[in-house]
Amino acid sequence: MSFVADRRTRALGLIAVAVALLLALAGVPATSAQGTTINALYSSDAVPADDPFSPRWDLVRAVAVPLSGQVTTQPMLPVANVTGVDVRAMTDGDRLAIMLEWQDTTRNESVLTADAFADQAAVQFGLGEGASICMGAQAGALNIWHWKADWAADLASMREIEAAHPNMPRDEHWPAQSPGASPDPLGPHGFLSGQMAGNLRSLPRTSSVEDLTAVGFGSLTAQPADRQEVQGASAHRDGRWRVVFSRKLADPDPTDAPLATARTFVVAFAVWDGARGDRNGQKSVSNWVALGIPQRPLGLLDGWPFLVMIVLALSLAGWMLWLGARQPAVGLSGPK
Amino acid sequence: MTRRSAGAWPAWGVTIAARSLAAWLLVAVAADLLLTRTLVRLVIFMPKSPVMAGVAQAMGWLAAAVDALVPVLGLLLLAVLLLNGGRTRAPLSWRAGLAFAAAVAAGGLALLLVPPVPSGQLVVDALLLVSLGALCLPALRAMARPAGPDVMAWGLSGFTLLAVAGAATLAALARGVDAAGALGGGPGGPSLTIWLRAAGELAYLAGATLFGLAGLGEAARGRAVVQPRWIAVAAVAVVALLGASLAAPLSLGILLMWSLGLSGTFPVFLYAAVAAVAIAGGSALAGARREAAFGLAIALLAGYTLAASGLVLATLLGLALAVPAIAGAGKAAARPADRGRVGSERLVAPVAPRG
Repeated sequence: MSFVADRRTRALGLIAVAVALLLALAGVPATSAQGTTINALYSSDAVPADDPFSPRWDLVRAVAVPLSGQVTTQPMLPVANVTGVDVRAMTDGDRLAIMLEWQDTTRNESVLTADAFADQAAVQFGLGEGASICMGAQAGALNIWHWKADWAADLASMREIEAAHPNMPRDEHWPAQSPGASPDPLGPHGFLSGQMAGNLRSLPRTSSVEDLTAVGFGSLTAQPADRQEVQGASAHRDGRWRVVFSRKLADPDPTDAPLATARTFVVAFAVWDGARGDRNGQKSVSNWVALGIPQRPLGLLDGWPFLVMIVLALSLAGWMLWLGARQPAVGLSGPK
Repeated sequence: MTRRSAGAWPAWGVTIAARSLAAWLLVAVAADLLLTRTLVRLVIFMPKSPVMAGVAQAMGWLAAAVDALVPVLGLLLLAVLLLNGGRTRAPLSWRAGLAFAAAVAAGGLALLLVPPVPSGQLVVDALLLVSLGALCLPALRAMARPAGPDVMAWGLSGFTLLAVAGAATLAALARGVDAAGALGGGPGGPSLTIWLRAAGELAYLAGATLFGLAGLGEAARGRAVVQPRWIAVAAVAVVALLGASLAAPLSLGILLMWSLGLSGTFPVFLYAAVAAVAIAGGSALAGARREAAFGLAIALLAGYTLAASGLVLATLLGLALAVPAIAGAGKAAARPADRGRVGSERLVAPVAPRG
């Protein structure tokens, strides 16, 4: 006898297939992730976004997220240089702050020479059901917050390449530094093409975090300067980095993570150890984890819809068991 | 239909409808493993020409449908098992385990709809642990009885059940430790969760091995045949695993994690050997003891880390399907009159003559 030969059961199976197709078409998730969850703590005071070593961060439980090497695409990092990162999150209803903490005995903040690489860290938010952890996909883009230790150092004092090579011959900046030159209609930065083009890497730093979008390998794109909404704060102490990313929850930009409207996100993390030559794809990466963002202070009673659903399910199951016990004929097959 | 006919059912819980839906669920979980958890993720590694990008998008959509099919079929099968559990006077703990499985399913759904609170995950994990224990209790009782000469008829299946249930228990405990830490505030205990997950992975691999050995044992006693086509499938799996380990060992590790939740820390030949034994032996077990084989296969194919609520439900249902077969076989083996009749025909409710 074929296992799927029963006509009524086959009809049920086909209905199940149709329901699943409809759910997929409508983009309605039928399963939830029950893996590691980072629950942001709701704070009645403003989040300590500017102070990574604020004692208030120690009130938030750190979730240890393991990292592995990036071996999906070139350039690869076969063995992770940073094996784990502790993650904390906090919100005050206006702003979300995520703090990453990891061990790194060396502080690398310069990229001014060809063989120097900075420490870095990133958080990526999946923006759709089909988001691939590997730099996103057409079916689901990523919003990436990328902190760079060299950008953080530049915030205190912008360093040019002359800082690494003080005796290098240099061309004067045309035209402002050319004696006798006529005033340039383009202004003193007329020939600084990067700045004129609005390249974030050339512009004066306003944040140590770059706000980016990606939909697949090779598609990583910085958002325009006027849409860079993520702030960063970082400190290196006792051989550990602490980096805080923060952004306002409300943000109309469709390419940004909708922190104000969604309650749970899938997020992933990456860390670069500059001292070991990490750069670009050579990074230590995590798997997806869930990030829960409460929109208001949560108490025990806030779980009531959850408890009601469980009680309802138990009641329904009990009723079905009772129904089965009372009426032996009830069921999809059996003696007639 | 009278109450009297219910008493004529030799086994509890598993009827023809449940068997059929179990077959649907097995196919859905296998498709989820191959398509959603393996092929779609394999495509990530491939260059995306415009054609490939279209193919990848279509596969992603199909994978989402398969991903939804698992919980939908799971809920249908759960309803049938609940009805049959009451009708066939199944052991109370098994029925309670099913009821708690329904609560676990509701909890998984609730996590999509309600604000995330740490206590929510903790409650779901606690329900999962209770459900696992209650479902497996009848099998434990059967296995605790003095074993007769036919002990090997159910012994390996029973130990498979315990290993798979143990793996799910350890994974749930690891998550529970995480969630409990979140409730209490302050740093959690990552080292404990790492040990729990590692022990769970070993239990899962042991379960897969015992699953295959149970089938090979049936074949050795002449109760089943290892079909050549399944030997071929096992060979393909071994070649694929070993080939991938030579060509792209790191990518293989990632795929193992994404598909079955395995860490990839053990030598690849161990995974290959386990896969070969499980595939070849499992097919033989399906010939001799279909309910146990289908149930255990569903639980094994759902994977180890059980991160998706649909797969959690599939694992519970797989164990729920296997337990009556194993507990029933244990009973039968303990009764001299029933020795030698420990086949699937004794463990499934008879179909009434039609017409």
